Amino acid sequence: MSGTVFSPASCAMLASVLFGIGAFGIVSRRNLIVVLVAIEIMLNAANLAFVSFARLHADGPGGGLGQAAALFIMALAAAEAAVGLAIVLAIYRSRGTATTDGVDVLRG
Amino acid sequence: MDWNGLAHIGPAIVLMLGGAVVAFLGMILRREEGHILPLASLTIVGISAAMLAAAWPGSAWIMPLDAGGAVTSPGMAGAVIRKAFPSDGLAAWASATVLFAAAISLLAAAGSRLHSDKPGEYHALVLLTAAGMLLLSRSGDLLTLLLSLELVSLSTYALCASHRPDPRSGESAMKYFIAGSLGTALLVFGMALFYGATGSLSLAARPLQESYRGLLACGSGLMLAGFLFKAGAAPFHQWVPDVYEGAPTPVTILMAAGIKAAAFAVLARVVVTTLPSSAGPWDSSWAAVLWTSSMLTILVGNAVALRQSSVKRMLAYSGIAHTGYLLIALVGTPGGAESPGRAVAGMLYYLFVYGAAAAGAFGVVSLIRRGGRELETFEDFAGLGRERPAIALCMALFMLSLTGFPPLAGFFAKFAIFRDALARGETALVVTGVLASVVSAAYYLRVIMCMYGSQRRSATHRQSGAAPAVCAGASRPGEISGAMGQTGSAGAATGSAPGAGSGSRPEGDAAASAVQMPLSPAPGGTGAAAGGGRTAGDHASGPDEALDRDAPECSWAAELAIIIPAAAVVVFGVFPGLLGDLISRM
Repeated sequence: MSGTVFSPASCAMLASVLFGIGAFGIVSRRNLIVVLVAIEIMLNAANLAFVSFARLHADGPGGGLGQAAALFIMALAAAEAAVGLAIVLAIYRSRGTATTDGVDVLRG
Repeated sequence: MDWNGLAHIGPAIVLMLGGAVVAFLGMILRREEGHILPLASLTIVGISAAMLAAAWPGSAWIMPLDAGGAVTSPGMAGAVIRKAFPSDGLAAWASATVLFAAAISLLAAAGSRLHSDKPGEYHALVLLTAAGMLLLSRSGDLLTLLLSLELVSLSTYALCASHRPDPRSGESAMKYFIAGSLGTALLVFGMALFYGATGSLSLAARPLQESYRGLLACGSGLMLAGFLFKAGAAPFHQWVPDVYEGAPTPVTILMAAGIKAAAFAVLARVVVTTLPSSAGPWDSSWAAVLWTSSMLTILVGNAVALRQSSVKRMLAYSGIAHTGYLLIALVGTPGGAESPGRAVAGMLYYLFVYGAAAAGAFGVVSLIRRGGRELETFEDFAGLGRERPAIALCMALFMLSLTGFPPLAGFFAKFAIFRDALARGETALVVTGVLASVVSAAYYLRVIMCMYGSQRRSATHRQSGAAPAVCAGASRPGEISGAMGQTGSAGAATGSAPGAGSGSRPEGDAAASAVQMPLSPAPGGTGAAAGGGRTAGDHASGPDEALDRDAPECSWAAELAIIIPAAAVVVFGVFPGLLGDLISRM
């Protein structure tokens, strides 16, 4: 690993920053599509952390686990995006908008 | 191939295959053969329960996980499965609760006509959710845990959105999706940090070096936050009321009784197995985090439940409050509890009892309809004791059990958790819990008073009498003491109302008056106007409508969905010994 710019530690830092960006996006954006994108960013931040830690543990017994986990999480993110988009479509069809602004029937 | 390992997850495999079969049946069956689907789904749940009983674990309560690396020899598939899915008392009892909740939810769905458009998909999703919950309650590995959790979550998002005509259904699905995805993301990122510190995905993994403890604590903390999100504990509870209220009520049953059980099972496993591995300076802080969350959850859930005008939403907030009581069982267990078994046994008993009572109460909301919609506000329940005495009696039993009145199971569940917490020295939490239970009587008993205490009245008689003030839900934000006082006065009203009602009841029957004035918005302000605002416009005509008499063809199924939990609440309260080793371990 010596000689590379991207050490596992710096990759983990980058992943944390990405995770923060995604979390900020979820709580701050009104457009549901952008919220979906923010969720994807968070999951992919976790993926980046997984593969960088897999590199860190490459010589240990659990070296392959991180990469396997990243593969599973990719599939999971795809499934989540599919369900999320279906829900956004249903909302859009019934309300004509895909923002969180108009979605406030339930409250109290 | 070692088939012994498969026996542990056999119940879940049956549910998944059954889900596929039911989805296929839904495509080929004609509309008039739709009643086959609930029967097939219930049969599959029954088979799964039988397999669970056949493979009931003998000794271990929470199986100690082996922290080592991968299973190396390739022929040991059974060992791999046993490592990824430990079979112990915690998993078995949580699975039993989950299957119970799934059966009740299927019965309630069979009795309501909500899912006539795509019944195959609905039933397949319920079975898949149940399969995911079974796997979740027995996962000993972070990867299986994550995948089964997502199986549950994704199916439930779709189930929440399944009632297309109601815009609230889609809205609840969207809110659940955003909150749930945030929880998932926290969990996944926590898992990544956990893996970085331990080089393993086993729940029992230990840090590779001392210097990794901080990283491990960050990862465990994020994972804990993700679990609290999914369990609906404060400060991550905001999605619960919207989702429980907006989702189709049979789905709410599944969420309140089933997902809560599975989420707490995995939370208990993480608290007992995983959190101590980042011990040292962090040990007491985990207990502090759980303590704070438990306290907040109890206070918020009860305080906000007091001011609800919708019974379904009140039940959702009470679900939050019960999450808080359940968390008490986990506070202090990570530290030095030599036998976490007792606390966990109390938690499992509580989960089952709460699940039964909540499922039954939501079942009542789902079964009884006025004017084609579910009973919603407290006013809608007025007079139920006269119109449907058996259902009202069951509802009263659920409310009393949720409050914790002695002969019923809810009392013993609370007693078990509080006694055990006292033994661990959590006096402040127990005192808060007991006081909160007393306060919770205000909103639970309000339902009973509405059912029995006041006659349903036409618009002309709306202004008179004290009892409607209880049902009208006029307690404003923050008026906890006011609400308590109101309940006190309502107690007096309960005594006086029957006499007054029988004297001044010229309308003869609420049904008759409903025919005469079906759509007159009640003067005197519907109670909903004061409490919610939203319900006023939608349902202003509600209180004057009669109960729907054109019961759906399968209403006996929905009635079973109420009677079975009621029987469970009574029987397991009066004869707790029937729960066998669960009780003997408490």
